[in-house]
Amino acid sequence: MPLDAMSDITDEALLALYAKGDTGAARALTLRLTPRVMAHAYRLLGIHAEAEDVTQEAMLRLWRIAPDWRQGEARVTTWLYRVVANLCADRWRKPSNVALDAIAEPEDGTMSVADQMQERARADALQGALNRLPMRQREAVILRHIEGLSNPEIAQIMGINVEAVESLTARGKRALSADLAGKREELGYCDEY
Amino acid sequence: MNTEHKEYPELSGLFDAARAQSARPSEALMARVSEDAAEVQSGFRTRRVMPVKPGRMAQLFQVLGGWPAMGGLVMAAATGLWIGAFPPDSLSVGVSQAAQALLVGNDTAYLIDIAPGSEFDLGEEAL
Repeated sequence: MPLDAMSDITDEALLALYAKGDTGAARALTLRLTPRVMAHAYRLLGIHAEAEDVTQEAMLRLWRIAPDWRQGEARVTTWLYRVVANLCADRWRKPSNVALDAIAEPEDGTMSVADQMQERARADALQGALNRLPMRQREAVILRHIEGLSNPEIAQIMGINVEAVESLTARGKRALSADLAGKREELGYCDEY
Repeated sequence: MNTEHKEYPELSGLFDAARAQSARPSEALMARVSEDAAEVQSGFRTRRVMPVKPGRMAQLFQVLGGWPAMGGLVMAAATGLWIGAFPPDSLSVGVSQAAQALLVGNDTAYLIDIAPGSEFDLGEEAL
């Protein structure tokens, strides 16, 4: 099946096609999910090289589970977020000697160089503060406020109830705000507030 | 501004910036993920053409010796059937007598020694 024709097909249906041997489905899922998994893994880990390793491992687990995937039980992205969180948790427990990498510079033609630098500084500052949050708060804040998932979805991913998600995100945001309070001017917020 | 962040207004812009500056997978990573997908998928094809495990009857058939043993069994059964239907003369008298005894019974009395060797003990007592 051509790749364009697969844009309307759900992740779950593509996974079923992949399990039946459709090579186009493999390519479509790779292009659709790998960037999303990579972005999430980087936000959780803050280390580019490790995020790439986690991404490859999470995708490998997806390929392997494809023939046994139960349609209608869970969303592929929900399952992937959970796998990424588990893989990242394993890495958090191990001491790492890898230095923080720079994120690949995105090209955005609609922004001026100064604006791009400002955005870059803000993203880096937030990532630094996220890295200092406890693991569960970090995961909840990222899923809620960056990935844009609903609280029930996050509860399913993290294996907790909605109230616990709300508590984690509230505490996480309070900690982030306190951590970044001294950088408001540096991040270009002094005139706005 | 997102009303969800009214308590911490600066966070809204920071989250927007984080979304815009997402880490992107390298070409090498995309290639590795594609290779993994192809490799795992080729395993599905191999698994699909693997022979199906035989059922219980087929397993019993194999345990009993397969076709050679079954051939001998069929031959023995056919021979027994043939002898039963068309018995040779030497067998027919014995067979008919045995069948009669089994079905009708006879009045022949049999003397059975239930304690063989006791005659020796009795002989010794007499002395």
